[in-house]
Amino acid sequence: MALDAAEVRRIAALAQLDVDPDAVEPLRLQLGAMLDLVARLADLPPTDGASVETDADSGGIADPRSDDPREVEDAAGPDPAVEPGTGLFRVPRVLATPDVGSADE
Amino acid sequence: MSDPTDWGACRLGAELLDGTCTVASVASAFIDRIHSLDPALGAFCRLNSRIDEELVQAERRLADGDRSGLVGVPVAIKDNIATRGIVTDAGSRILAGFVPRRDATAVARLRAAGMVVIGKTNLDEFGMGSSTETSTWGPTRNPWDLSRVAGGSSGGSAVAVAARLAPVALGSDTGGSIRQPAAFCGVFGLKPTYGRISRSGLLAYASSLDQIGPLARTTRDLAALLRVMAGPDRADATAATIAPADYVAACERGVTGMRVGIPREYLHPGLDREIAQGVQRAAGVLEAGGARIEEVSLPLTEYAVPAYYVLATAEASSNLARYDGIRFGRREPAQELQSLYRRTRTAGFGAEVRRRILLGTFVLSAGYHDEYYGRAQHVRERLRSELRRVFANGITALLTPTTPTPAFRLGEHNDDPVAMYLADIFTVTANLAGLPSVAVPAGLNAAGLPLSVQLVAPAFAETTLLQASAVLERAFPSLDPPMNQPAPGPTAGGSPAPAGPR
Repeated sequence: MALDAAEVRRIAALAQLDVDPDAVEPLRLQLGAMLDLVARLADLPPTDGASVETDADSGGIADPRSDDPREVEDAAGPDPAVEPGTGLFRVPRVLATPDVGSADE
Repeated sequence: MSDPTDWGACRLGAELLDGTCTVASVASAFIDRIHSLDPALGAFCRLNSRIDEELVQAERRLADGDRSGLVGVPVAIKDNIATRGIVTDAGSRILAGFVPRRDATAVARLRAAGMVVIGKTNLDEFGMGSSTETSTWGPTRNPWDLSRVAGGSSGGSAVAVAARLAPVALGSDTGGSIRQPAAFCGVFGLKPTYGRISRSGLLAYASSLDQIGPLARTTRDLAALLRVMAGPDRADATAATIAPADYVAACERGVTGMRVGIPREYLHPGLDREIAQGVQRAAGVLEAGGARIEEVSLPLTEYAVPAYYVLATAEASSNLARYDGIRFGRREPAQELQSLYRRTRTAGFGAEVRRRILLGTFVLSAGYHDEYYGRAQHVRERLRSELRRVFANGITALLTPTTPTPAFRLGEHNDDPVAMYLADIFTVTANLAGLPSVAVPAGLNAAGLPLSVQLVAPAFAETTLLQASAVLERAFPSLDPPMNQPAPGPTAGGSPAPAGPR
């Protein structure tokens, strides 16, 4: 499948990635080649109504547990700091200036 | 005097129990060897700077009479598997300096068994690659020919084992990333059944395909590590509740009565002649051991790679969305939030990762989701059914090539990523179907490069793989790269070369 430059930029925006103008064309060609590879899936004939077997036996994957809340071990970063009186989480400042600008860099 | 770096994990464990060596002397031998050889290889991203604490604990356990068999044995860990207190960056700038607060479950279990983490091994960034060329730390080179790739994405782990920088290592396998580098480097590599080993703490690439597994120089070592790591885990809802088997005992059971299928689609006329001959020799060994060799057909084989690259990249685009510069990892300065996301991700991810995220985003996007992702899911289910039918017809295991070629040269596929993707043809099906699979060394080709065969078994039949692998191991000569000369002393001055461990 051939992509055009606008499509490459659209996909990049969806993926939260910047693409240099000089990189659009090479990327367009590479993605096109990748899509040509996966387009082979369309060559597979349909199953003509034959049922696709599903795994009645889940293969031993953990039995679904009941949807009950329980204590879990903290797995990620430090305990978040909480703003006194509000219960809101404090997060580190991530933007360059206190006032959020309206224009992209 | 015997060199402990010549020994595998089980042998080392036994020698430590017998007191013929100490935990400290074993670790020192491997670390000296890493400092000596790894500057040329690039297998390690970093060594465990707190290894002394682990060595003390191991010595104490041995002194207290712990005879569990792996206490004090070093293990190398692929750097997309979390290790408490040791930087884990998945070969990516976006996670530079990230230090996990806890071990991955697989690592925790190895440590609980007394194993000592010697260091973190290099990989293709986030596990995306088949050559270990895309890491931010640079490429890892094949110890059989330094101008060739180690394979990927677990190239560092494969090289660490092949070059005797560690007796065993952990890798991860999403589309062949344990088996292919094992094949290229002449070692054993096992991808267990999906769910056999907990994925908790594995930095996700494609969550329905990823599995952690061991690399080793013997089948028995694969079995020993699998036995330690396998089992349910509350931190991973996809971890299987089926109890682990006696994998070590399976290594002695032989292959009498097995029906081994060779898919005709895998031995097509274009396959490397010596690789095809390796498969035939392996079939002969298994037949001499009492197995029956049969031809089977997997007509959907040609659709496996396209299906894989739709599904894996789709899942990757979702999994890697978390790397946005907010909670962890790299953060680029920006005046506005969306700009912060884009600048951080663009600067933090390498080219191959960005390509795969873009492809995955496209196949999930409105207007294309059904055509690509929906269709790939359907093909995946048909592939699973096809394999299920083969095994239901009495086939015990499949025997196939692991890779279509031996290790290729560094940079050979840089300009053609699709050519790299097509090389996964023999490995991706096991991931798509969630089945266990092992790469087994099968001699050398005329150019002195390792050959390998792959065995695939039904779900949770790792014992079948280990039985057959052990039989092949006894028949094929043990592989040892030419660079495995007696280890020289520590480097002069005590400081590693620039490309050495960090």
